[in-house]
Amino acid sequence: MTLREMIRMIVVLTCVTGICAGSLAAVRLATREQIDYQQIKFIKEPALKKVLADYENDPVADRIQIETGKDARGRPVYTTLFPAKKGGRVVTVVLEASAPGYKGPIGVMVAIDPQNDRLQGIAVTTQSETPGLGTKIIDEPSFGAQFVGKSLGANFQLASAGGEIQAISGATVSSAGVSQAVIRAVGIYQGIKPELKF
Amino acid sequence: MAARIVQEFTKGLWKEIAPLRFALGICSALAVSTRVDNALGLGVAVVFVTCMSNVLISLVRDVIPDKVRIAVFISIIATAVVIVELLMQAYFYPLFLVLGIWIPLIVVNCIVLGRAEAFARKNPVGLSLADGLGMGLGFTLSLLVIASIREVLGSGTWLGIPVLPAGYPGFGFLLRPPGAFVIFGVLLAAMNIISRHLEKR
Repeated sequence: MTLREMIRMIVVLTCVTGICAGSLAAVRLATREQIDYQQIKFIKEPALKKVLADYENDPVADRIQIETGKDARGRPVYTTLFPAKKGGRVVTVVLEASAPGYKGPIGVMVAIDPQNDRLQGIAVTTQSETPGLGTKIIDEPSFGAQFVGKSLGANFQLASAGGEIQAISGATVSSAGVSQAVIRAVGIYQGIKPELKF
Repeated sequence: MAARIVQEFTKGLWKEIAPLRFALGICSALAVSTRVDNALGLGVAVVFVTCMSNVLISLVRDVIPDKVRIAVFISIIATAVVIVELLMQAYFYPLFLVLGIWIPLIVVNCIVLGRAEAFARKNPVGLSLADGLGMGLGFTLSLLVIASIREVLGSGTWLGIPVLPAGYPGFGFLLRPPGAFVIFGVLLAAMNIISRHLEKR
């Protein structure tokens, strides 16, 4: 193999892979927003539909990202808010928070009425609780219904911890997970409320 | 020239239809052929990849040193596949979720590399495009035939529309991998019988 041949191979391979990488980066940049939108839409929208009753906009397209603190390495942590509008006014703000359940984290979507500072509803998004026991947090509508209409100042702890929420018998740990997630969501919301202009 | 282009295009649809003649690319073909819409989705993705890789490889065929050609081909093919994956994620997200791993695996679909090695590196751009289009559509066609048989007999629907009477109990065997192999074998046999019959005439 001559030196000339070798150099030619190196140059050709470098150019080809460089052009490939460049075009991939371009396509990635061009599709990034659309992909984010699709992922949020298909994963979060079913839960959004559960907590939102009446709205006219696309809460996924109108979502807002707000920095809500820093993680252990000092990088910012963002929370996504989904505003539901009707007649040009924001009638509901939805955000998600999670807390540990019996087996892994429980994610809960919390819908808040920003005008009156009340909860409008909650929906469990992700969980891996024991089927038939822990999953009652989803299957028993009366449990989630306890949160509806409560003021943000209410005590969302379980009754056994001095709060206002009745745990499901046999699923106390899962119930506590949901109540902790709601407390976190409400806490995040109250922390960023001054930044929101609705 | 025009006749040559037509010939290179049509050979992929019957005479050299890759999955049913040479049993090429059947791994993904059998895996996603439980439903016609999935088969169509993967087929379109493969058509895009075969066309794009054939055209690009044909364009650079004179500057590529022989010793590194496979590396160059694979880079180009992988790029085309990732572009398909990103576009599908952006605009056909439910389809992307269903096809999942089979989209990135188009890279190792031997039809794509096979056409690059056997055709595109020796032929001009126009012919390579016709070849890629034909081979890709041939793959899609094979997939659609297998998927139609499996979906109609397996779940009584075609493209999600019920086509058999409501009381049809379904034939779950056909929806599982062994069923795919049986259908594939029957199709291969049928292709051979028809071809032999045509040759005799």
